[in-house]
Amino acid sequence: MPSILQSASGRASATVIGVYVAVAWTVGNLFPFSTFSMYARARWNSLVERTVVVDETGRAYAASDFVVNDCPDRSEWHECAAIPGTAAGIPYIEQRLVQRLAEHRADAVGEPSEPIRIVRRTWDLANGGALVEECEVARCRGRR
Amino acid sequence: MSRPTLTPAQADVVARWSLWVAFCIDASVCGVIPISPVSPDRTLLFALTHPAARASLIAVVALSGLHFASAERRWRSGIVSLAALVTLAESRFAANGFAERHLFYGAAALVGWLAGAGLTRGPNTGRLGRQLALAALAAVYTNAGLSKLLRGGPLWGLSYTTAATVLEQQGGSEQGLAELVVLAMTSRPVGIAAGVVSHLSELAAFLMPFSRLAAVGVSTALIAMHAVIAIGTHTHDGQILFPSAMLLLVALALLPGLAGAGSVDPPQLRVDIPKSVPRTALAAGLLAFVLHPLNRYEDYGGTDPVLAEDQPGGPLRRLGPLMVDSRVGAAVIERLVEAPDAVVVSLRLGSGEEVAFRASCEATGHGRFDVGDMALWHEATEASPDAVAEVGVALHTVIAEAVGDRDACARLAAWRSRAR
Repeated sequence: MPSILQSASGRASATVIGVYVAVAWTVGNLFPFSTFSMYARARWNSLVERTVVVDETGRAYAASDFVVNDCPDRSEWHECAAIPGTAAGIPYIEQRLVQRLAEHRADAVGEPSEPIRIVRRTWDLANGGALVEECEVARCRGRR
Repeated sequence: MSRPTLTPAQADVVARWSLWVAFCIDASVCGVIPISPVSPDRTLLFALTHPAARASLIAVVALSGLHFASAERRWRSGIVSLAALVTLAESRFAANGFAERHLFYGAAALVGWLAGAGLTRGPNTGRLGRQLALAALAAVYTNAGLSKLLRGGPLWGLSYTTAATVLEQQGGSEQGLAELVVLAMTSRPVGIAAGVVSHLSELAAFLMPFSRLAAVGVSTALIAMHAVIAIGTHTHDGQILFPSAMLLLVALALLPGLAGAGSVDPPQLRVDIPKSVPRTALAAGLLAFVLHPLNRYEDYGGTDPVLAEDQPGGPLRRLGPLMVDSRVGAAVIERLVEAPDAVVVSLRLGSGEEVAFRASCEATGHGRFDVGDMALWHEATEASPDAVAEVGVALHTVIAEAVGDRDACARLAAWRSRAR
């Protein structure tokens, strides 16, 4: 500490760091001050899950890859029984999936379309990320 | 053979233009990515999310930033650019209901730069500005490391967080490099190494302004961290990129001839900074961190529930088969809190409502969710009776399976003892 405070630039740098840290931990998020708490909570659950759109072969796609789909609304999805101990996941990822599907939803998909499925996949990180379960929540058609 | 090194004047130019590019990126993201308002609002900040207002603010950020970057000592233009960016960002965050932290880096560095420019007189304002821009960037990463220390503990790097985050943020297909990254991160040793290195790099970031070695080592590790995240994630809206952060780490810390107190000419300061000032600032930062209430924080922009202050036992991470963030039926365990005569399991239902169950062997009036002699009942809630019954049965099943043929109260006592 004494050596870094010998130079004027060192003292100024330490002051900036101290002030930024103090302001951020006092006010929380006030642009451009923040504690950057995203992902700060440690995750000890080895089971993780994600809801994805897959084609018949099981290949996963981003929801926005389908320009049109006739997938049901989130409220009509089948609720899969959770495997005890599975982490709940990052909320906004599924929210985005639901939003993007809704944005591209149409009564008539048109051709060429293909059958697609919305599935919830669960992996076990304690076992090298092995797929533990795939639960289908909806079936529909989409056009890329 | 010595490596080519930037002169201080060249380094100033590189840093100023990098700051300008970073503002333009952040302002464009603020202005272009659609806003999803959480609720109709008529505040001034909300009005500023109108496309015309956003376009105007982006133009102010870009043009004043251009003026700032194109010559030395144009710190007033920097202030204008910063003010416009703050307005743009805060109005966006107010409308969306959450703050996008990847947009903070450029503005934080500019605050540092302006502090340096304001403190210096003569022709070398950029030297201290560049140094203090790096200091502000270092503080940003230090805070990220401190947050993990506070909320995840010193062993954060050993948890599944890194691997889980990459795996969960693959909204689309994993192909090519992304597939390799996911494969690597889900391997336990690689996941741990990535978690430990990234957490230690963040915690060590405060050293960057003081040591060339630290600046190069830490910035390299942080750039690698951002690169892995960018390659290994693909949400439904694309990769998770931190372009401003990566650019500024290169421009302020990594390029030869830049960071480190030794590379900065002694500036002519307007006022001398006695040692008591940094000591006071650092003490204030430490104090604010230490006094930060553990039970109030924001994550993914939303405000997590505040733990009841009257819970003497405090929060638990795990209780037997129950773990915070785990699913129980269609609900998610948000909190586990130990009260004097019970354990409170707070769950968030899929519909958004919260319901709290109490598990106790000291209560009477057993009900339908009980497990052996362990009473399990729910507190008053706004959730529908059917939804509460469904999650109650699911909770009963999880606990009953973990208890098996043994005495439920003995198991609860053992779980509570182990959880402390």
